Amino acid sequence: MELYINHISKIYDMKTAVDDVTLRLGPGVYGLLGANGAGKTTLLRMICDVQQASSGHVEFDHQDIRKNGESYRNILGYLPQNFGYYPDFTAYRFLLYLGALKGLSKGYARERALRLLREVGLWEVKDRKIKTFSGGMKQRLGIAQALLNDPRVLILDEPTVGLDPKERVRFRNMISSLSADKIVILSTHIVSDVEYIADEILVMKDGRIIHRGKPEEITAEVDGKVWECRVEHSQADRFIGSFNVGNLKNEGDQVVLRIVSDTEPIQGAHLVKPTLEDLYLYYFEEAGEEDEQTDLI
Amino acid sequence: MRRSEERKMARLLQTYQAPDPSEKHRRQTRAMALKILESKPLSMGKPFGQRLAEQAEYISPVSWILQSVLLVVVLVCAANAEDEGMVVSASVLAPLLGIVAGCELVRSYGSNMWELEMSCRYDLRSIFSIKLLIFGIVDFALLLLAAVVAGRETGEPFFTALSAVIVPFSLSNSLYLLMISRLRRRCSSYLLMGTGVFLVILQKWAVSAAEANPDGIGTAIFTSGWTFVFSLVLLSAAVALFFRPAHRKA
Repeated sequence: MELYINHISKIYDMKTAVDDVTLRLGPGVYGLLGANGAGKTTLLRMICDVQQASSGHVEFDHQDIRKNGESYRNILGYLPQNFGYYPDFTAYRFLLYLGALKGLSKGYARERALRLLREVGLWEVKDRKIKTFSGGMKQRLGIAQALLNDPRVLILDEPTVGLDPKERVRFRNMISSLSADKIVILSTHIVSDVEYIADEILVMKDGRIIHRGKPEEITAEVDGKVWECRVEHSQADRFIGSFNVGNLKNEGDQVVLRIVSDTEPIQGAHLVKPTLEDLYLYYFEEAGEEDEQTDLI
Repeated sequence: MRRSEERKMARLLQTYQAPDPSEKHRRQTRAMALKILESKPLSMGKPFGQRLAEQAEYISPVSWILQSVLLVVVLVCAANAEDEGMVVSASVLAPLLGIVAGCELVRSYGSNMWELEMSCRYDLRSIFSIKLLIFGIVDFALLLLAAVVAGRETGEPFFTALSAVIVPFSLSNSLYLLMISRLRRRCSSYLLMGTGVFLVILQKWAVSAAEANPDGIGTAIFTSGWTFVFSLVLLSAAVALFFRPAHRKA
């Protein structure tokens, strides 16, 4: 099973949203990491055949998905970033409706819908109208519909928005348990969503995939660039304005700063082991670049 | 077993006829097979009739209520009009019938369901085609009924009465489809309703002008068979344009 994204681009007027992306993806969980506006949603829409590419194409098992059409969508599960619902639908009816659109037989759709509602913790409210749901409940319903047809290709765009920590953990465990024989692409700018479950991380910036690798491999990119230092309270704001500060912790009359920087930010700062979040800050935070401070303070 | 016994057994089996299953056993077998089929995850492909029935089940009840209300309005206006006024009333109000179908189509955009629906096996294009078919059949049946009743009551030839309702219906629906395919997510129900009301006013003006000058070219064009055919061709073209592949430009 292979998803081949072949030199795909999307250009809107003067703006290039996705710039010549080529990827070969086998079974596994892929975390698509990037800031807002990096092109993640556009890329995922083209993979789901919801949006037409300006150039390039996507193949699944060596067949163009546009030519395959229905048979590709048959094995696809998709959770858009901002998905809607018909206000008069209950959660159960919503899943049955989408089950019908996904080609499921009525009996199987009923069985699957009830099972998924239980798994995402919406069993008690399955007959309530979706318009009465909280954001987190709607998101869980969205995850359930993406899994209805037990898809082989599962595309989730910002799936954990609105979920509390306990729901996030439940979601991560759910994805981990069913990813064995699937291609799962999970787009997010919340690093912890993918740090523990992704087999590979794809880092996207300005429409391009700038890095690809296992989490521990790509964090090696920022090895030697993540520092911890102690500063006085009065100096903290200056550091925040001048550097990429990943974390700030008050300890007594001093502040411990975790800084992502190519050079030692202050004498006495020591290197620490980088995390995926540090990598994200290194590539996507602009604050440190605007006020360049290369001298040691 | 000895050879002679084997041969005897073989002859016996050759002549043996298995008993026909009873009707009860056939029914039981069929029911079991259907149950097993129902529990299978994916169908190879649903028959079109089944998809039509499933989609009809999920059409908003509000749409059916509105459709019924419009039908009542058209019939009441037509019934209260005198003689030829019945046909005129039905003709003037015909553009309103397509609004309900249009609003049902743009519901996917208005409720932001389009992206999910587009990614399903039976995608947005399929949903639109089925909804158009359902409402098309219902609306054409209503118009046919209106033409038959109006024609019978007024003594107008059937084709004249039919043309008087089909032409404005086809032209208005062509416009609605064009608006939806061009504007997509920006096309709201209110926009369609406003367009419908405007077309009713326009149609009223056109009919009044034709009545004021019955021998004029306007009347000739309006009642011409060519206009009838042209309106249907235009509607077909609008439907084709609506479903062309570029529909995937979100």
